[in-house]
Formats: sequence, C-alpha cells, structure tokens
Amino acid sequence: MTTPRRRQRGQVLILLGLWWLLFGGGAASALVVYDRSESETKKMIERVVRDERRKDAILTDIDRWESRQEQRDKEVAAQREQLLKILRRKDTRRSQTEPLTARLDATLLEMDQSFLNLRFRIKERVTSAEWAEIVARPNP
Amino acid sequence: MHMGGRRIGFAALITSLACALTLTVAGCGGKEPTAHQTIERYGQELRDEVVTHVPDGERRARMLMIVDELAALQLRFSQQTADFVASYRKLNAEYDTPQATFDQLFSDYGTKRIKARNEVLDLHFELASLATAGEWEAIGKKEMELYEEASEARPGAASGK
Repeated sequence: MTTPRRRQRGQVLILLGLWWLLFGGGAASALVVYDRSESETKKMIERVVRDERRKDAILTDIDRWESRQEQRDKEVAAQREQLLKILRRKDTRRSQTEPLTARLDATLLEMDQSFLNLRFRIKERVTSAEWAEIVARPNP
Repeated sequence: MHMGGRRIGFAALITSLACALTLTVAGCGGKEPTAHQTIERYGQELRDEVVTHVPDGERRARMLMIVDELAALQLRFSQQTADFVASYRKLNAEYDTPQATFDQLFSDYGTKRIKARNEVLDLHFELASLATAGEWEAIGKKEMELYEEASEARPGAASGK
C-alpha cells in the first residue's frame, strides 16, 4: 500500500526533476528528499543502536551535518534566486549564467561530499547487523 | 500533421516515463494519474502562454517545439534521478561498498544533472530569442513562475523536516 507521503514524493519528483534539482539540488539533495530524510535516519538510529555512547556520537554527527547543510541550503537558494532573476530578462546572454551555475555546482559538490562523509562516519560506528536494520526499507 | 504526430508520441512518452518513475521511486502500484497531470500541467501552462501571446504561426510552432523539448528533458532527468536513487539504495544496503564506488555514482549523476541543466538553459535562451520583447514579458514570467513553484514545493513536505 502506498502512503500519502510516498505518493506525494512521486508526484513532487516529476515537477521538481527539472527545476529544483537542476538548479538547486545535487545528489545529496535528491537522496534526502527521495530516499530518506535526516529525521527518518535519526529515528532509525535511535531505534536500532542500543549502545548510548555510539548512538549519541552518531546523532551528534547528524546534527552537525544538518546545521552545515542548512547553511549551504541558504547559499544555494540565494544563488538560484540570482540565476532566476537574470534568466527572467530577455537581454541576458548565456555567458552571464556561467559564473552563477559554476558557483551553484561547487556548492552542490561540497554538499554531496559532506553527505557521503556522514554516511561513512555513521557506518564506521555501527555493526553490519545494525547497518542492515538502519538501511532496510519498509515493504511497499 | 507533423506536430500532431509529435504530440501523440510525446504524450505516450510522458505516460510511459511517468509510470516508470512512480514505480521506481514512489513505489506506487502504477496508478498515479496525478504524476502525469503534474508534468502535463507544466507543459500546458507554458504552451498556453505561447499560443496566447505569439501570433506569428512559424515562430509559435518553433516555440511550442521547444516547450515540448523542455518537458521531454524534464522526464529524462526525472528518470535519471529515479535510477540514481535506486542505484544508491542498492549500494547503500551493502555494508562494505567502498567510498570510491559512491564517489563514482555521485559524480556520474552530477554530470547528468549539469548536462541536463545546460540543455535547459540552451532551450531557455532559444525560446527567449524567438520571442519579441512584448511576448517575452508574459512567457518569461510564466516560465519563472513554474521555476519558483517547483522550488517552493521542495523542502518541508517532501523531506519531512
């Protein structure tokens, strides 16, 4: 059975595929939205990891990552807004978009690397059995 | 005649890709008319602006083709995103997948995103160059409205934050 939220994700993905992901999201953004959000990951960690010390360390890592991502999200939103503003004008030349898209791409690349680093930091703190539980997907 | 055939082919492409996408990412049972409607609406709204504001038949036909190409590009990129998410899930499920494998997956997806984004920009500039200043006032405004609508639709609801 499909939950309303899952349905919503499917619908949103199609609309966002072009505009939001192309201009304001990289691989990490796609995964946070379409695979698993940070809040869902935290819930899984809290449920699966019984050792309090390891659990706290992982949750702290996620919190730090979240606050850095929030900052980068703001940067991306500002960069995207600038891009959309110049695209609105008919006299804008293609070359004028290049510095903006280059900055966006650099920020998105940083976000992707940070996402993967977090993934590996979490994995290093859990056993393979815990990992299997954390990444398990609910039956559709 | 040519445009009609193109339209039928495009509608079929939308239907098949929308179903593939919702099946892959949303895990739906293949009955997601709203997904199809969503992408149809995007193309239709822009198409309506072109039809309403561009009186010249030849330019209008070229601009409508660009709108169709933009929508087809959206579908292609959406499918690439669905494939990327599916590949990530597969690799992520394996405890021992090396970081280099993820790096490659992310890099490949990034390359596809940048390619698609550049194609969108090319089409955007082609569309703008075909319009007169007066026509662009309405068409450009609609295009940006669709961008902004999509950007605003993204955070809270979808990420569950």
